[in-house]
Amino acid sequence: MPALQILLFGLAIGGTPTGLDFAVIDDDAPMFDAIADGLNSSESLVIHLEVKDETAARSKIASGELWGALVVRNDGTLLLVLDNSNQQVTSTIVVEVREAMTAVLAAQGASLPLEIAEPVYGERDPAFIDFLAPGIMVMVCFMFSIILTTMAFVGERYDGTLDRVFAAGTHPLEVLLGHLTAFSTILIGQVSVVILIAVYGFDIPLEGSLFTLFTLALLLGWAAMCFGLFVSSKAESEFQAMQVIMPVMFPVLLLSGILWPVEGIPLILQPVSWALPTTWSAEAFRSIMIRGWGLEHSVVWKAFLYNAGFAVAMLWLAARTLKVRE
Amino acid sequence: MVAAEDAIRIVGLTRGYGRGKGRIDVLRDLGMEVAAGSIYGLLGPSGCGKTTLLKVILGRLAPESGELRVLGGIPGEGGCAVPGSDVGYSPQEIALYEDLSIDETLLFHGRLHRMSEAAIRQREEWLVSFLDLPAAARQVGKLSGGQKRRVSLAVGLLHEPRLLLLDEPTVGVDPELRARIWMHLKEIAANGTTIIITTHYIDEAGQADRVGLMRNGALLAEGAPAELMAPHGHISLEQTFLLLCRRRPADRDGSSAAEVDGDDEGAEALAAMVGEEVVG
Repeated sequence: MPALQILLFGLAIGGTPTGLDFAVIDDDAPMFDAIADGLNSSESLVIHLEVKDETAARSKIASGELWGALVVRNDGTLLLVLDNSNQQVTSTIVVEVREAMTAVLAAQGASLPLEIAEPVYGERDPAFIDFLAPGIMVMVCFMFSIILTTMAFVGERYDGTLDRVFAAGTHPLEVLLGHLTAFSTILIGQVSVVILIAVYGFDIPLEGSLFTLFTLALLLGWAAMCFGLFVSSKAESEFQAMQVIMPVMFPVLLLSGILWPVEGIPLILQPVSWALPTTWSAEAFRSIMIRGWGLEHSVVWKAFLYNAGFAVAMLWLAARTLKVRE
Repeated sequence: MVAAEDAIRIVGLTRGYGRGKGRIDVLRDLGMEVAAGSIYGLLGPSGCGKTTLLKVILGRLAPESGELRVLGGIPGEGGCAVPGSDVGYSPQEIALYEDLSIDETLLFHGRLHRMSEAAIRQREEWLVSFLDLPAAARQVGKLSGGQKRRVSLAVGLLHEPRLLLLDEPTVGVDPELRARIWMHLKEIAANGTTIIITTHYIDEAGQADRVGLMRNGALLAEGAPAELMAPHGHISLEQTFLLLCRRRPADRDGSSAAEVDGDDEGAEALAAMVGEEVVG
């Protein structure tokens, strides 16, 4: 499952859109040829030269035939008209146009007054997938780990095996640790697969240490498994367990800074974000993978600490809930 | 007065599930004594509280009120190896891990009781031949219902506990093997093991040292099979049971109308059960 999830993610998300219909309109401007050539060489855009003026371009955009048009005017200025209904498409087009313009200016020995320096962290053109991938890896690790343990006791309660194990005088903590140990073998395999596919399969940058990343992913998995065990120790049926798990999944996706930075979440909701181990982990994953940070940075060691603390707290709650004598 | 030879002594035990409107009383003011080294047969229709009673004795369920002493201690409290290695429990559900083989199942439970591997193997060899179990390498999930039940019983017997709680261990077991199991139970009881066994087979309960007829969470009557039958002038345990059930509603003091209704239902269920036994 996690392998499939991360595969689908890598295949579907973050690829540059191609085949976008785009018109470049000639107004007999001297710059036209250079810009049209520059845009033509882009893989994302399919350039249409047959559109004659801005009005025609606007009507073609309105009817959905074009994503946008660039009018190259006589006075040396440019007008970009866009269908802005899809932000990713827009940003792809804007990047292409900017690159073509920069190239033309460079050929004339000129440049924009703003120079963008080599970034301290990350790549020159940060891809959306590079921001998203660490978060999605966190999400996948968290989700499958919860699912591993959520049903642990539901079945055992129902079929009487839990009665039998408790009859032998075992302590709830022994039973919990037994489950944790057994599922950890699966966890280790799954986490390795997720990291290997992301980093080696989809070339998602990993600037930091693979070992640090792997260990943090394991800790996150344990935190999630302990949470699953806690839910399992309380739930009386599979239905009840699912009822608790499903509403947890969505906030994890939305509030953990996986899709959108936590800083953009209303202040009143931010405490919820920081209560989730996934928020700390997503921050740390990004720092390890893009910035190349290690345990010496607080973002990273705090994530280690929070996950470990979360795991122990959940295990303690589960041990209190799972009573030998009910 | 506490008789020293009592392995189990229960006074005024009450236990139910849930609270408020949804509450169900399962055990009501139940009293019971089981002598060490005896076999106690617990008889009654399903839903009468037999399993709940066993779980209370086992220390898996806490009593809401009443006194309970098992092997001289209070289950689940310090110094009492119940739950623990003093008790062997064979639940009504099969309660085995389907993915394990018979061998692995016994090894797992043996290790829970800190038995050495050699000791487990020795017991395993004996249990496999005694209970007529299939090859020990067979996976539990692939066994028949009757075979699973015998493995379940084997787990209960494995560590030779001082107290055996067997919840319907002979359902679906053929008569010849059933007789052999009872013979073994009598043998280990003679050596000091205390056994509580619930059963649907009334004739089987006749072999117990004492029988408790249980209904609606209380014991209707308790005694040696012969003692129970004598005052009623009936020749079989079934008929004694039936007679007791029919008389009971009138005997009960202060019982509400609803409870009497419940009793009637119970009596019908019992009559049906006894009828089946007679026909069978």
